[in-house]
Amino acid sequence: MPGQKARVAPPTPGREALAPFHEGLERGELRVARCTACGRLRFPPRVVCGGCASPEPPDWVAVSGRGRVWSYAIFHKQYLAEGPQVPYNVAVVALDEGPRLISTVVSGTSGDVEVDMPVQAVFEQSNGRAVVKFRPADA
Amino acid sequence: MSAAAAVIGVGTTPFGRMPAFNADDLGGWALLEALADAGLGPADVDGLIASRVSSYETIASNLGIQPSWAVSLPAEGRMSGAAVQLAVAAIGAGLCRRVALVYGNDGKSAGATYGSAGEAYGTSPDLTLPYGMTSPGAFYALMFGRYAHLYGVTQEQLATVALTFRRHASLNENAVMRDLVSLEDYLASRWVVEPLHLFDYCLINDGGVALIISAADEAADLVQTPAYVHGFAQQGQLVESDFPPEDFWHDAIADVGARALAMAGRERADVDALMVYDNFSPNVLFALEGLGFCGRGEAGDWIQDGRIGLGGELPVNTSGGHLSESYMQGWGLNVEAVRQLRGECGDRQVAGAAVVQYVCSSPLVSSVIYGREN
Repeated sequence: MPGQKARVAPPTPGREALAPFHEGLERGELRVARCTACGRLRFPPRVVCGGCASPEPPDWVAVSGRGRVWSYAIFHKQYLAEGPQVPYNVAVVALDEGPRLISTVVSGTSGDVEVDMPVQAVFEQSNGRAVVKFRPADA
Repeated sequence: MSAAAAVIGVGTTPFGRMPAFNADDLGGWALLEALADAGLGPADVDGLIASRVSSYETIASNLGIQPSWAVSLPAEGRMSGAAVQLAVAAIGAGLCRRVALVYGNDGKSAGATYGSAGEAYGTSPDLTLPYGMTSPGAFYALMFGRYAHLYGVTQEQLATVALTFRRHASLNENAVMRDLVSLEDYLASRWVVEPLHLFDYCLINDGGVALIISAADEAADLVQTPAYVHGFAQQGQLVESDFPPEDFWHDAIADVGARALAMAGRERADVDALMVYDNFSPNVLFALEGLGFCGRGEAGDWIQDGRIGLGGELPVNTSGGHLSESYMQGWGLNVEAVRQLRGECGDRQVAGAAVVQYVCSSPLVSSVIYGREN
């Protein structure tokens, strides 16, 4: 690396930061970042741990894929030319392990989704890449 | 404590669809209006803050301003309150004496939707676009979905925000949307991102806004009644800002409101009118609760029975706000605060308005307290 003597390790370049997450999805595994100093889980990974402020690059751990719908909304306006067609739902899922994700609840109809509903991760291919969605789960 | 600075001139363009003009034209036009309002010329301004125009350089060169201090802020509306604060701080630091704040928005003519792939909300579009998540409106729809679940707030209660602001806009000849909306109209309107209806969304329109802020010691000698900037505060909620905040920004808004009032030496009860950043109607509920006008989860009830309308206990967004007057991203609301203090608002005037508060709940919460007396 060019330049001065470093006091901290170089951060993970932003464009590479999510690679372990996407690799996990390809294998049917939901991974979140874990602080190597204090063990706190976080997602998206970020440079610095929100718990202990460690700037050490995190490692990645697989989580259960269980969580709850923090909230959801149903798109009726087609903003995006590519992507899901309206009406479709978008949900904020709070994983049992803590971190939150933006995703979709796959069920019969959008009307089946409820706030605080337990859900379980399912893995799909979309436009040539793996994505994680959630299906209703038993409480 | 006496204020260090005051708004001595304000300017707004017409609002609507004006395809002949770009953002620089609109911002420059508004600044000419503000200078005329203040009885000043471009050479009388020595500071410049530009937002959503192409640059401070374009504005300065077009208008013939040779500032001793200039800065550009990004286009986000949360910067409008921050800009007022920055102007006062620059004056206080002795960097300049009179700051022109300029904002121009050609979003309507430019075809902005705030939700296309290139306009994605948040810091990680890689994690949102594959699921169809886009647009700030959807972010607020997610917030309101949870908020309504927690507190039992209904669509009918939320509708009061849009209906009240539309009634205010009907009294404002510069408002884009002036036809009254009934509860039936509201409930029958289309969903954009459910649980938000069309009328819960701000407009998208073209226009420009400018303010001139000067050191307070010279403000009283100028043509306009000064609107003193008595207090302000700001608080970021930027960690985890890709997700809706668990507390709907309550604690940050409470902190900002308390600090702004303390700096102003005022109490909440002194506030005669409130200008809330109403990008989406639920934000008004979050702001009222955060500022402590009512308890958590109570705003749906609290806003009923005319309480936030003209003649009510706390008139809110007397111009019609972003929902009905014009989507000028907080800038227009700050101008409305000044016009209320001057008593220029005609049919929508709040009688005897002496203290008006602006608040923006967003990942960068801000508030400004304006007063007529110093």
